[in-house]
Amino acid sequence: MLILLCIAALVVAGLVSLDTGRDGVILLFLGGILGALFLYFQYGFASGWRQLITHGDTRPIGYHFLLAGLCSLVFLPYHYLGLGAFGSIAPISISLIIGSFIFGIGMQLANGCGSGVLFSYGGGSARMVFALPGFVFGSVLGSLALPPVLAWGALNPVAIGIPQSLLGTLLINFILIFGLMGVFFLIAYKKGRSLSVKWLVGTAIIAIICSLVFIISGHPWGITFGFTVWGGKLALLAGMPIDQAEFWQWSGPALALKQSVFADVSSLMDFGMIIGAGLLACISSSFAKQPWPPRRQLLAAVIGGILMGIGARLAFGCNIGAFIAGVSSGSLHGWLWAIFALIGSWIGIKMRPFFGFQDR
Amino acid sequence: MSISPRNIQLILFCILFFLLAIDHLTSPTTKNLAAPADGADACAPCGAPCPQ
Repeated sequence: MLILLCIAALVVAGLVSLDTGRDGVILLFLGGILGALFLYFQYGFASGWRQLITHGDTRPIGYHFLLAGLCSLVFLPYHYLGLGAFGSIAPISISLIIGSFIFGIGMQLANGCGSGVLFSYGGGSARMVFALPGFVFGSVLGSLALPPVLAWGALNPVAIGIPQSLLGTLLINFILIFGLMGVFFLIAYKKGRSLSVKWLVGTAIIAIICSLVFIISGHPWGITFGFTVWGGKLALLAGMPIDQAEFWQWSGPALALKQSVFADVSSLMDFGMIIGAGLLACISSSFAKQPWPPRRQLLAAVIGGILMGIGARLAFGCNIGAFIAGVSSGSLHGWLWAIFALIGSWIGIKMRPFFGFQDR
Repeated sequence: MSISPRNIQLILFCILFFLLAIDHLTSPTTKNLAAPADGADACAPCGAPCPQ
């Protein structure tokens, strides 16, 4: 498997260089590093929300706000000074609320979110063999649902900050993000829970790579749009006229559907994550060592994947593309995403025992 | 299930890379990286237009 993955990595890098040149290969490489890092640190968002809800452990969510805070140190100045890269903004809409809520349920059923599904799949997880196709299928459904649901009610994106004051905007966002991180870490400290140096280091390294991706690609890292493109292309291959749907006639999705998948930044990063996690799992001899999970959990993985796919499209992304990218870009949608994904996670955790999960 | 997760993964990786190669060979490219948020009317990471 290691040899197969090495050959695949070289072939993909070659094809990417033909399609998008040096920057594409660099992004594929950075995606690979992220995949290996996420697998090594087991950097899960879904489990972080679950730790918070079931055990009152505020450390994982604190690490995630640390990640958003570190990214914001790069994203916000770049965005507001017009240095060539732009933060993640999105409308404040009913679709955002519904989508993030659905996503929260889905990530608890599938036992992983967008990044979790990818690095676990690359690492040989049997569960994610079922969750990933569900995610791709769900995101196509979500692409069809987004335009009508957006019409139910939406406001233009809201940037958190003080108009005409760059310093004020930066300060408000830094205080909000790092302040909340501090609160979470303080609560953990008062409960006698110490911070993990490994996770702090992992968060810092991931933040550096996220910043590099932001500077090179011009946008914050996002995962789920790639799944939508893959599903759209497969639907076209199957003869479905998906390109006639309203979502696929918007200029960005239309271009992504038409041109090579290696030109889509999100897809590139996703391929990199799968390959990077796969290589690390093979080197550490942990690739696909686990047996099949119980059938009910595999069913939960499919349902969770579909819910995440629909939710990610309605809510403009997942933990990475909406929560981390939105919060670190000073966009209100990122904060709202987190609140409603937390509520959805609570429901999802209540449903886990029905699918045979012992830990809730 | 009689097929091991490892074998299923192998088969899926092969199918995935076959599909990627087909897509590369059959799709045009502008030689530039593209994100849907780059679209002229984009107001969200997925390229959705502004509501108002």
